[in-house]
Amino acid sequence: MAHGNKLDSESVKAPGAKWGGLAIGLIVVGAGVIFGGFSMSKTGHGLHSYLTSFMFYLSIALGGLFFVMLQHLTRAGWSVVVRRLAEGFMKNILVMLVLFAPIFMNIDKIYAWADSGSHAEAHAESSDTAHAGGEAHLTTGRIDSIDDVKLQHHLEHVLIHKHKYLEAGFFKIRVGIYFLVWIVLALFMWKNSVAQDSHGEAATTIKMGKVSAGAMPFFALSLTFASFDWMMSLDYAWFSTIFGVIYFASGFIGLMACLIISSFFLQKRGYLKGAVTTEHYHDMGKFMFAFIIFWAYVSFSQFILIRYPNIPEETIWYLHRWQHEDGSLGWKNWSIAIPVIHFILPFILLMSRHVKRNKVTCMIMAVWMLVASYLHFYWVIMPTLTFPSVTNPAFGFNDVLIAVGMGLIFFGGFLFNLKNVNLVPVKDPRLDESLNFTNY
Amino acid sequence: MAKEEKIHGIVSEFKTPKEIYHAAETFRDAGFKKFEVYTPFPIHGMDEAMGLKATILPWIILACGITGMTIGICLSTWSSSETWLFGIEGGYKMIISGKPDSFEGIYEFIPVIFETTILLSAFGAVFGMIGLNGLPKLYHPLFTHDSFAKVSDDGFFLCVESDDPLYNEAKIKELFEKAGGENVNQITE
Repeated sequence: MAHGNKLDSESVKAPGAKWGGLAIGLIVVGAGVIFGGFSMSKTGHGLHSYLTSFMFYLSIALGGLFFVMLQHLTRAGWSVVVRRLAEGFMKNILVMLVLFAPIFMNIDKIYAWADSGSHAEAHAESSDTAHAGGEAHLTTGRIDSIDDVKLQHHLEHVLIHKHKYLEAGFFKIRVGIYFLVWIVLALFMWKNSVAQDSHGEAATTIKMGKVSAGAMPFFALSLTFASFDWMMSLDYAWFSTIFGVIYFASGFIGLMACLIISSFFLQKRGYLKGAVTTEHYHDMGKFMFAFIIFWAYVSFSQFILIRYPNIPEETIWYLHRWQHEDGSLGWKNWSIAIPVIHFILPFILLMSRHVKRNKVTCMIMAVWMLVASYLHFYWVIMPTLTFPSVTNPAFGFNDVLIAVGMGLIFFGGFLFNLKNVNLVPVKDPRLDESLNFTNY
Repeated sequence: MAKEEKIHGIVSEFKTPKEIYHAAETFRDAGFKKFEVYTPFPIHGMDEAMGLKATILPWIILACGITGMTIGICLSTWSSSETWLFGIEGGYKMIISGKPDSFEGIYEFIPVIFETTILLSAFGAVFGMIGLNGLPKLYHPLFTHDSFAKVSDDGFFLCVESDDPLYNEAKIKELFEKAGGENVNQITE
C-alpha cells in the first residue's frame, strides 16, 4: 500500500560529459596501473595474474548480460530500476574484448598445451606407435621437465588426444565466436532498452523477452566453453563438466555485488533518488545470498564427485591445491580459506534480513564478495603457472595492482557506457511496479 | 456450557480493504494490541497497519537447523568410529573404499549433514508456523456471529479482543464509528 513512490526525474537524467571525462581518466590511470603491476612481476606470473583479473571482470560483464536477459525472460517487475546499471556492466563486454588482446597475443606463454602443442600435432599421426613404443616423443616443451615418466606419458597421451580442440588456430576461432555471441546480445539489449527511453513502446519489452528466451542457450554454451577454454585448459589433463556452472555462479555474485555497490555510491552522489529503495537492496542482497549458496553447492558437487571415486587424473587438480611437491603447505591455506570467505562467513552474515535491508551492511558484504570472488579465481588459475608442476602461491602487490588497474578500466567503461543515457529505463512499462514494490 | 459466558470481544464489519486497512491503523494508533483482522485475501502492508511485531519463526527455524546439523555431524561421525569424542565408545568402524572415517572423512558426510539440517529446518518451519498460528483450530468464537460467513467472500472484519489491557466497550464503539465500521457486535465465547 506504499503507492506513490515518485522518481526524482532530475537525478536519473543522463550525467553527460562529466562522466565521460572521468571515465577516460579512470581508463588511462587503470592502464598505467596494470603496466606498473606487469613491470613488477615476472613475465609468466604477470600474464597469469592478468588472466585471473580478466576472468574475474569478464564474469561480472557476463553476469550483467545474464541478469538483463533473465529479467526480460521472466518479465520481472522489481528489477527495472537497477536494470540500466546492469546494462552498463553488460556493455563492458566491449571493454573485455579489448582487454583480451594481451591474452590473445600470448597464448603460447599462458597455456601449457600451446607451449608444446606444435609437437603434439607433429606426432599426432604417429600416436599409435608413440604409445606402443612407450617412448617420450615430445622431447621439448614443459612435459620434458618432469621426472616422473608415468606422468610424462599421461600428459603426452592427453595432449595427443586433445590436440584437435586445444590448438591455437581453433582456439582463436572460438574466442571470436564467444565474443560475437556476447557482443551481439549485449548490443541488442542495450540498443532496444535505450531506444525505449524515447519512444516508450511496450512492444520493445515483449521483443526483448522473446529474444532473451531464444538466446539463453547460446549464452549458456558460450559461457561454459569460454570457461573451459580460458581457465580449465590451463591444466589440460584435467576436466570437470560443472566448471562452467561455477564460473557462471561467480559471475552472478559479482554482478549483484557491483549493482549494490554502484547503486549505493550513485545514491551517495545524489543520483537515482527515490529510484532504488531499501526493498531493492533487500532483493539484490537476497539474490547475492542465493547465488553464494548456489556457488557453494556446485563447487562442493565438483569436489565430492572427484574426491569420492578418487581417480588420480581428476584428483590431481585438488592435490595441486592441497600439497606442494616438496611437502610444504603450498596452496593448502588457500584451499581452506576459500570456502570460509566465499561461503561459510557470508552465509552466516547475510542470513539476517536486517543485514540485507541496511544499505551500508549490504554494501560491505558486496565488497567482501567481490574480494572473495577474485581470490577464488586466483586460487583456480594461479596454481597452473608452471604446469605441470606446481609452484607455491606468490600473491603480491603486483597482483593487486593488475586487479585494481583492470577494475579502474572496468569502472571507467561502466561510467562511459552510461554517460549519455538515463540511469533508469524511464519509459519501461514495468517501472511503476518496480518503484512501488515491497517485500513481505 | 455451564460456565459463565465470557466475552470474546467486539467485532465490526467493513466493506473494502482500504477501509479495514485504515481501521487497523486507527486501533494501532489508539494503542490496542490484541485485535485481529479477518479478510477474504491477504492485504499488503496489513502487518504494519496492525503494528504486528516481526515473527519469531526464523529463530525457531535457525534453532532447528542447528540442531539438525549437530545431529547429522554426531550421527555420521559417531557411527563410523571406534572411539568417538571424549572417549565415548563409537559405532562400527567400517572402511569403505579406503576413505578415512569419523572427522577425517567429514567431506563424505556433508550431504548427510546437509540433509538432516534441511529436514529439521523444514519441520521447524512447517510445525512452527502451525503452532504459532494456533492451528488446528476447530472452533472460533466468531463463528457464532451472524454475518461472519462473508469473511470468505466479501466481508472484512475487525475484532478487538477482551483481553486487551485497553479494552473499553464505549471507546471501541466510538473508534469503530470513526473508522466507518458497520454492524458492531459483541461476541461471547
